[in-house]
This record gives sequence, C-alpha cells and structure tokens, in this order.
Amino acid sequence: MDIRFQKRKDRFDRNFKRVSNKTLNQLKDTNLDYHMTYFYDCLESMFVLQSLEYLSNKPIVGTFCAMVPDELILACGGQPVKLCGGNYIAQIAGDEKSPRDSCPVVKSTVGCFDMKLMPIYEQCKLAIVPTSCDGKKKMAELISKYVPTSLLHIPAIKDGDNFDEMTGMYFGLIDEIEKKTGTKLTRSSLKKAINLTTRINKEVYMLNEFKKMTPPVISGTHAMAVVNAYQYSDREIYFKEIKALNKHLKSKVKNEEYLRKASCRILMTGSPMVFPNLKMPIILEDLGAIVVADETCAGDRMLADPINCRENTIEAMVKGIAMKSILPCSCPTFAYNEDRIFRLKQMISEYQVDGIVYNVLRGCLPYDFEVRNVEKLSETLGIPVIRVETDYNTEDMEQIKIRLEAFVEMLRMK
Amino acid sequence: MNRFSSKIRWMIMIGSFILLVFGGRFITPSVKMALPVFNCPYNLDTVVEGSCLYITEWSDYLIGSNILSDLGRLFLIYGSTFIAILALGKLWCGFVCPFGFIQEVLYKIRAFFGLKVITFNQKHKSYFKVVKYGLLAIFIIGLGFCEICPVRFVIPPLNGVATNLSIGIVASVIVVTMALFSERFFCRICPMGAFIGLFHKITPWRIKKDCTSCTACGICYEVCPMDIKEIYTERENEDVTDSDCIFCNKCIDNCPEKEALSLAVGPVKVYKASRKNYYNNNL
Repeated sequence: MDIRFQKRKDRFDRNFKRVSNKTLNQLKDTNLDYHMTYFYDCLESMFVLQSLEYLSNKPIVGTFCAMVPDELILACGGQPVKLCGGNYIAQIAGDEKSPRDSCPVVKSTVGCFDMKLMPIYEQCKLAIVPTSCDGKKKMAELISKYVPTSLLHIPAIKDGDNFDEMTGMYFGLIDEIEKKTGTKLTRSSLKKAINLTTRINKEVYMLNEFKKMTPPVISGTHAMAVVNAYQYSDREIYFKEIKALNKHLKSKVKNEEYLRKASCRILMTGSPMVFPNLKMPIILEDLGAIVVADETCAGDRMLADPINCRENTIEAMVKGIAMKSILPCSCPTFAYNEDRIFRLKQMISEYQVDGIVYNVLRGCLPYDFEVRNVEKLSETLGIPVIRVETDYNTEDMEQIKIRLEAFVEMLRMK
Repeated sequence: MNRFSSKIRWMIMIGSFILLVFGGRFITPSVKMALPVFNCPYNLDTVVEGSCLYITEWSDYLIGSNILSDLGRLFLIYGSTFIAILALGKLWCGFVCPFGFIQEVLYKIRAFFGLKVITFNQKHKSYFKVVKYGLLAIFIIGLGFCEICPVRFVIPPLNGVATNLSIGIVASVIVVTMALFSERFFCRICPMGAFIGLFHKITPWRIKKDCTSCTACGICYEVCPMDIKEIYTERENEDVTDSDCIFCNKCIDNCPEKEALSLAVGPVKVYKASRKNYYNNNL
C-alpha cells in the first residue's frame, strides 16, 4: 500500500476513534449505570476498539434507513448492521468522493467505505440501499465500488389496494440476501426472526414508557444510545440486555429514583442522528432540558412499529414485514406525508412536550421541506419549535449551544 | 382489557353455535323467538330460530295466516328480530351467527394445511356489493331465497336433518369452498348481513378511530375479513363504522396504537386498542 495513503488512513483512524470516544465519554459521564454498560461496550467495541465481538458470527449484511427490515436478514441467517455513518471524521474522508452539497450521512458512509474506517464496512457481504432519497440513491452507485449493493425500491406514495406491489419488492430482496448468506429462508426461521424483533420492539416500547413519566427515569440521550446499540449487536443478546435494563428502570420507579426535575421536555425530530453524532441531545441535556421524545429514524422510529402477520405462511409474513416497513414510516421521502404530522401531534400529547427541536443536517432536503408543516403544527398547538441546521462537525457547538440555551430559557419562562 | 378479545369471541361463537344448532336436542322451548342470524329453520328442533325464514317468507306469515290469532307468536318472532337488530346491530354476525362460525372454522382448517389465501381488492368488493344487494332484494321481496340459500345444505345436515335437493346445493358447494380460501366469504354477500346493515346507523354499536393516534400502518385493513379500506384511510371522522362491518373486532385486537381504534356503545368505549393488547394477541 502507498505509504502516503497509509499515513492518511492512520490519521483518519486515530481521529475517528477519538470522536467516537468523546461522545461515548459524554454519555458515560452522565449515566454510569451498571445496566447501561452492555450498550456502551457494544458501541465502544464497534467504533473505538474496531472489533466484531458483539456481533454474531453470521455473514454481515448492511442496511440503511428504517425501511430495510432486519427480520428478513435474520431469517436468512445474516447479521444485520446499520451502515449509515455518523462520524465527523468519516464525513471529511468522504468529502472528495461525493458532491459538496450531499448530506453528511452520505459523505460519512462513503468515507467509511473509502478509508475502511470500520471493520463492518470491509466485512459486509451485501449493502441494501433503499431508494429513500436522492442522496441514498446515488450513494448506492458510489459504494458499489466497494461492496455488492442491492437497491430496494421505495414508492413515492403509500398507496395501493392490497400492497401486493410492495410485497413483491421484499420477496426480491429475500433472493438477494439468500445468495449472499447461503442460507435459505424458511417458514420457521422467519417466524423466529419476527418473534425476536417483536419482543425487542416490546422492550423498546417499555423503555419509551419510562421517558413518558414526569419526571422521567431515563434521559433521551441514553435511550438514544440504547436504541443505537441495537444496530451493532447480536439481537438475541441485545434482547436480554434491554430486558434487564427495563427491569432495572422499573425498580428505579419503585424506589422513586427519578431524574432531576427538568422543566423542559423536548421532542427531537428531523434528520437522522446516528451514533456518534449525538451532539444536539447532549447539548440540550447539558442545558438542563430533557429529550423525552425522539422521532428520528436512527432512533425510535426504527423500532416504533410492530409487525402483524395475518397467519404463519411466508407470504403473509413477508407482507406483514413489507407493510410495517413502509406504511407507518414517517420518513419525508414520501410525497404526501400527513402521517408524520399526526405522529408528532400524538407524541406531543403523549410525552407532554414543551418544545420541538428540529434538526436539519446540511443537505438533507426532504426534512428541510417539512419544517414548514411542523411550524404550522406548532402554531396550532402553541408549542415552540426551533430549526437547527448543522452537520457532524464540532466547530459550531458553541453557536448551537447559544441558540438552544435561549430556546430552553424561553421555554422555562413560559 | 381482554374482555372482548378474540378468545372471548370464540367462546361466545362456539357456545351459540352449539345452542343454536344442537340446542333443540337438550331443551324444548316453550316460546319461540327468532334472531337475525343465518340458522336454518328447516331444522325445527332449534331453541332460537334464525329469522331468515320469517323475513324472506313474510308474505306467508303476515298475509297468508290469520294475523289476529297468531298475533302473540308473530309479535315474538318479528319483535325479537327487530329488537335484536336495533340493540346489537351487526354484532350478531361477528359473535353469534353459526354459519359465520362454520366459515371461520373452515378458514382455520385451511391455515392448518397451509393452503393459499385468495385475496380480493376494492374492485372485487364493488362487485360483491352488487351481488349482496341483489340477494337482499330477492331476500326481502320473498322470491324464494331459501331455494338458493347455501346455508340450507350446511346447517340442517350437521344437525342430522335432511333437506330436499334444490339448486342451492351448487351455491352451497361454491360458498363452502370459497370460505376455505377467503375468510368469511359468504358474509361479503350475505343478505341477512345486508339487511342488518340497513339499520347500522341507528344501532348504538360503533367502531371509533382516534385519527391522531393512528400511524396508518394498515394492520386494520390487512386483518379485516370484509376488506374495509375506510378504516385505514380515514383521517378526519371519528366514526369509522361501515355497513359491511361484522364487528369481529380483529382490527381492534391487532391495532398497536393507544386507543387508535375502539368499540363503543353510544359514548362509552368498551374495548380499546392498546400496545399491550397487541402484544397479547401477537406474541
């Protein structure tokens, strides 16, 4: 290998670990609970130690977005891993390979592939890219140099009479995954996979119940870390750990060990926030607010909706998976996205939200389009909203802090 | 919260099936009443008769016979039918109807053998609507619906009563095979259901939807045996009761969102959807 390239890679590697470690330490500083260690360790082994020990030994299949169902990969004997990048250093690495105005998620992912910053990007057997936005679509072309990719077509509108068209796409996906993992999908394996994810879904739902309490028992940042760890873990072990965490939180409720009485309950929405880019929630919670609700696709939305299968045949189960992946998804990539406004409205009342923070990653157009709708909603409900445009860099931390401080202060005065 | 969940519904269905079809073997009723379900009165040993015969052959009972002498008996039969329709509406279909029960059992048998389901779309549904109201016309005017009634060759033989052959046996074979492959196939075209459906606006039973809570995940539409799409697409009105709805409550059983769907009697919500209920039914 070229020595200059090697040196450059070393530098990127070093900084990549530093940035990931920083976020991890910020998390650990505020909550060093024994039951959280699994989730921290999981993220640490993946991002800092660069090992695959927290994954199962099955072939790794990479996914993007919330529309690629993990169940199909699990049922085909694969290990699903989220490939969306969230690291600033990877964003710099990807800068020259992708257009200037593309979003940091795309840049960071391309950077990870190009510089081989994490072992999962090298080990990955197949990357499934949904055509959710233009960035993702063209990113598929960029990363196809490094890894075999498979496109999953996402319709622009959620319509159809009996969703057969949609189900067909997912059947096509099964074939592609089977080829890479070498294991055939069977009725029982699919049933098992659905059962496992439904159980995890139930635990995540319970975790959210703890955030709904006033005052909550777990802060939004840590809940986000827990949900983020899901992407990089062996699902069976993850289920056991999150179950233990919920049990622990339940005992905390019993002993009335609530978090400090926060005056502002924040709903975090907008562009995806992938670990280690937890900049915004960390700043908000530093300022004394609490991120109670999270409507971002790397966070709660990923695991918000359960699957329903009409019966135990492969057809019915795949249809259930396809419906779960597309219909309740509130991604702004869909042309008419009333559903998201309804969901936000419901979340605002359920979590007793005081203010909305709308995060827009620079270059993330679909989310920027919907700011207007959310502003309109906030006007009717009388709940303030702030739009913060940023990317993964840490230089604008202070400016964001000042803006958010004013916002939180205003919420307190209300 | 599990009061109306599927287990209770099955228990009521099994109970009413035994009582309505075989009940006459244990109990000899002194007063005859009729309920708005398809239970063939060709079999005279039943405790409670299905009122289908009395509705379709109303001319025989109301005009042909001496009304004054039979007043008490007729009042009981027609009165109980109408009171039952007004009080419970289409709950009769989902909870009591013995033929509905037979169809659901057939559908379960199909699932056991893993046979493929036949699905219908909204276009087919509009064709079924034409058939349904056509049958309803035949049923109400009294053009001898019993001759083509598929139930006549299912329930009386179950009870050990022979009926004379008619063209209905063809309809019966078609309906029974279709019911194997499509959940509650006959309910889509059932004239009795259509008849009760005429009164659905004045019965107190309602399916209500909280449009804010709904995430439009489509589960309710997917599990609906009647393929009612409005329940999934509705985004404004609270009342989503459809005249086709048979109140099987499957949508509420499987709805994962908090109170997004609920069964209500007037203003009181008796059975609400919740995530907990969803997990009970799906894990």
